[in-house]
Amino acid sequence: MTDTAELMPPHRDPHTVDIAHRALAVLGELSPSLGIAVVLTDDGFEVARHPRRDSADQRLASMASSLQALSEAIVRELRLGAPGYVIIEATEGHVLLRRVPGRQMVLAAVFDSDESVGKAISVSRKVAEDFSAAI
Amino acid sequence: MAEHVILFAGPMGAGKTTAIRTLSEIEVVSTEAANTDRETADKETTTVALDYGEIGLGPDDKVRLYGVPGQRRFDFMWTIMQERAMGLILLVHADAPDVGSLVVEHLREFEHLARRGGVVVGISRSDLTGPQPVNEVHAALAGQLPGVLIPIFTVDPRDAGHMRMTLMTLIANIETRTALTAGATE
Repeated sequence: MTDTAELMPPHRDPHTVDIAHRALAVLGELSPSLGIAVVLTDDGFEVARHPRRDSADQRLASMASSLQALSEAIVRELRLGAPGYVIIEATEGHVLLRRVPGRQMVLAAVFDSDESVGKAISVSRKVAEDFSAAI
Repeated sequence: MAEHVILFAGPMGAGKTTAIRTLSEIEVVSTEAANTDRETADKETTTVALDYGEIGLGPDDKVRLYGVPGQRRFDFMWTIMQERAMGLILLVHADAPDVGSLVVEHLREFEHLARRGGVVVGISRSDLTGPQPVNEVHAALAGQLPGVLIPIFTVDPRDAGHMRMTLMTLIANIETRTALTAGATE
């Protein structure tokens, strides 16, 4: 990676964006009940989305950024060590947020109710780890 | 005052987090993330959910200070937080382009709160510009919100005296509005 690339925000770095798209595609293959998945920067910019689309709506990235930050603030406040993941379970599906290990990025994935929470947790962990290693 | 929630809003880099840290009597709960948008504000971190601080008023009574993110992409937090708030400290930086329009634009976003609660405008970084931004904000508010009482201060968010004065003025503003509303309905 060049110095220029290191200074470039992840959502504007074509290398990172490309790898993020591929990681999300793998997540979709591993979990057919995946509805939407987004890789976002800690400050709420969308890096990549699955399925791909041209819409400029970044609402999910912004909300995931806020929720991830709040969850990490709670973990800090209660001195619970390192945060793992956040799950929102709803009647029609669930949302999972997970930090990309060692990166200032987050994986947000929305699964329908056919997916088990356990599988969502395990596949998202693998994809986030592989993505981090590939950047 | 039945509920003591004060909201700090305004564009990125205006000093909201700093102001809450200056006023709070507890360690502030912050949700800062690395800022990748250096074109908008050249600073290391930015608030992405909220800041939270407190001032004690007695054993069972607190003023809760909430700061919301400045970027529009987090405007859902503006909507959520203004429902609970009784007053708004709107911070803007004096060296922002067209500061008068910026204040009016933000007050429109917080119109629900501005109409039922109190509002004070704090202009930070005025040492870089002189008094002109205050005049611009005053003119913009007089043009867009005639008859609405909104005090305007130049503030240094790092200065406890400045921020206490701003907060006390907001509380006076809330109480004045409440009294005027009560008088009008009698």
